[in-house]
Order: sequence, then C-alpha cells, then structure tokens
Amino acid sequence: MHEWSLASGVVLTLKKIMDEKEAKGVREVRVVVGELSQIDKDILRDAIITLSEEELGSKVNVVIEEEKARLKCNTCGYEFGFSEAFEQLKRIFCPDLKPGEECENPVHYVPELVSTYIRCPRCGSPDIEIVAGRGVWIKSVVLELEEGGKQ
Amino acid sequence: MSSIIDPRLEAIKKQFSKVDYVLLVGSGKGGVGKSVTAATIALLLSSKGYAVGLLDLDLHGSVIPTIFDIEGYEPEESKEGLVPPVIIGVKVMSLGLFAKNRPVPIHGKNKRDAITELLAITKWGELDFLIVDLPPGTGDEVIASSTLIPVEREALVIMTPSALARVVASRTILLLRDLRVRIMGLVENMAYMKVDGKTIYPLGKPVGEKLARELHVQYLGMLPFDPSLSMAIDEKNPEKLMETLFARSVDEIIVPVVIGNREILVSKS
Ligand SMILES: [Zn+2]
Repeated sequence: MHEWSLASGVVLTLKKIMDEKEAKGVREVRVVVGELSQIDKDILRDAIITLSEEELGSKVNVVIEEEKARLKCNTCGYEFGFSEAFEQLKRIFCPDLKPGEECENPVHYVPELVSTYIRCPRCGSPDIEIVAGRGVWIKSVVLELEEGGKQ
Repeated sequence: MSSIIDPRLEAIKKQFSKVDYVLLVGSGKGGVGKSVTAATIALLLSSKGYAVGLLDLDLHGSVIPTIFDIEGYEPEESKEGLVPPVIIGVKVMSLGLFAKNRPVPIHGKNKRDAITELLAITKWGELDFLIVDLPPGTGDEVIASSTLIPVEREALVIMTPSALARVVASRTILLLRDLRVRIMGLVENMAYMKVDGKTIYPLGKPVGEKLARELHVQYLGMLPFDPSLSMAIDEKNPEKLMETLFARSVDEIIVPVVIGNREILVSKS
C-alpha cells in the first residue's frame, strides 16, 4: 500500500509541472515501475487516477510501464534478473509461499537493500549493483495547454 | 515533455509538511554515542508532551531498533505511507528496520536512493520535533540526509575528547555548513566521571570548547561517561535510559536549546 504514497508523489509532481508550465490540465502521464520494487501496478494506477481527480480536478490517463530488473555482480561480472534475486528473497522471507500469494519483503519498500539479502548466484559475492529496475519514476507527461494544444 | 522525473521529491515535501523542526544529530566518527544521544533527546522531548519523531539514517551502524526494542517490526502501511511504531510516545523509523541486522553492502548513489525512498514513504503526520540520527562522517548519506529534508533543520555535532575526534568533528561541521545546515551546537560526550566526589576525565582532557571557539559554533558542554547507560541499552529499556545521569545531562544542556530554537523558528513562520 505504499503505492499510495508513491502515487501521491506522482500527482504532486504533475501539479508542480502544471503550475510551472501554466497548463490547464494533464492529459497523460507515463510512469515507469522498476521490477525490483514489486509495486502493485493496478493499485498504483488506480491511486494516481483517484488522487489526480482530487488534486488536479480531472482524471489523468495513466500508462504504466515496467522496467525489468537487472542486477550485476561487481566481483565476477555476472548479470542476472529479478527471478534469480527473488528466489533468494523467497527463501528468507516466505519459504512456504503459495502461488498467487504475495511475499512481504523489505526490498519492496527500499529496493536498494536488495544487496543486503541476496548474493551473486554465481560467486556468492554481496557486492551487487542495481543496473536497472529499481524504483518508480515519471517518464513523460502530456499537458493540456490553454489553447487546447498539447506538449 | 519527456525526461526522467523523480516523484519522490514531492512525496517527501508532503510527508514533511507538518513537521515543525528537524534536528540532525551528527558526528565525525562512529562510537561517540551519537545514536544514544539522539534517542535520549527524542525521549526527553516526548516526556515533556511534544510530538516527536526519531529517524535513524545510520545505514551501517543502525542501533535505534535495538535501543527501542523494535527489531521485529513488520511495516504497517496506510494510504499516506508507512506508519512508524510509537515507543513511549516517540514515532521511530529506521533504515535498520529494513536491513534486519544484516550488513548493508551498498554504494554511494544507492545509499542516497535508499534514504530518498524512506523519506518519501514514511508518514510522520504532525511533529513538533523530528530528531535524525545521521550516519557518522562526511559521506554520501550525510549529504543526502541533509539536502533531502525539506524543512528548517539544524545540526548537533557529538564528539569525544580526543585529538582524532576533534579533527573529524571539525570536518563534519564544515561539511554541514557547506550544506547550509545551521550548527546548533557541539557536545562532548563521555567527557567526565565523578569518582568519590572528584571529577576525572577518562578519555583525556576535554577539547570541545576550544574547537567550538575556533569554528564559531556554540559549545553546549560535556556529557558524562555513564556506565549505567550501557546497562539500560543492553536491557533494551528506553525508560531506564531516561533515568540515567547521562539523560539528566542531556536534559540540562541540550534539550532546552532545542526547545528554544524551535520556538524561535515557529514564531518566525
Ligand atoms: Zn559474482
């Protein structure tokens, strides 16, 4: 549910951009969600829509893209994706996870802490770098300008 | 328009919108009692009826979860963000709660991101004071913590009486100043002990007052070397912590300045 605080950050940022550009509204926002953050994309989308109605006075068309996680071992150079990392998280936080259940884990809140819990699947090093797919960010915004144009 | 925009910065502004005053507690190096001092200030302010938060950003040396006995904390979520556990009136949030006593092998930029994340998702609500336990030294986390917090903030710097502590404390003060953080004062911890009515200086002659004068910061005074303090911490008993000689000294020399400075700030705004 911290999806809602992130959504609030997105909407407040839209508000700021709108004010800066003296726009009438926001037509569309494209938000990228890093796989590592294990954000519930539907909750995030609905939260942005609900909050944009409250804060901006109109519904915004929300497009969510997911960025696949890529992790890299600084010791041996091995690159791996989320599934290999998640195997290790699962072993620590939810060894009995059933299909369809969520695995509560701290990486969901602070993605950077992934290296606290996982080791390189190849060499066991804790020196893991996040190459891609960590948090949530705004990729593009389509504004509704005064004369009905768009930007 | 198209560029990468970080929505967390606006989220942070919102989470801090009802926080009156932030005190950053820093030190040049670890092991000078920074976290215990930060925790004690928070507990004392709370006992006086203020709404107080304590934020632990000491990624590598996180001890706040241990002092407050909340290492088993499971995040509680609300629509406005993570709800900090409340211990004897103090809302406590710590990066350590997410690292669960494991080592945190993360690099500079990721440290900043981890701090940004925690600031963006923690729901503080209305606070008279937020006390921040900074990481020691002058690294990325200190810079991130000081620049990301969007509220009027001051810093208290803790040192112990030694030539080494003096050098690193002065580095920290200079960095915080460059980051436009006002230095509220300098405190010398573990500075003295009373034995049979006589004062002894277990770590050597106090040097803080001279340093404070050289750097034009306020010297708040000395805190005692107090063996009962580590007992209270070992017992994970914050109430016992408040009864120590150490806590009484914090209450005498630090807390009144913190309260006074907040009042000045609040009356200005
Ligand atoms: Zn490796």
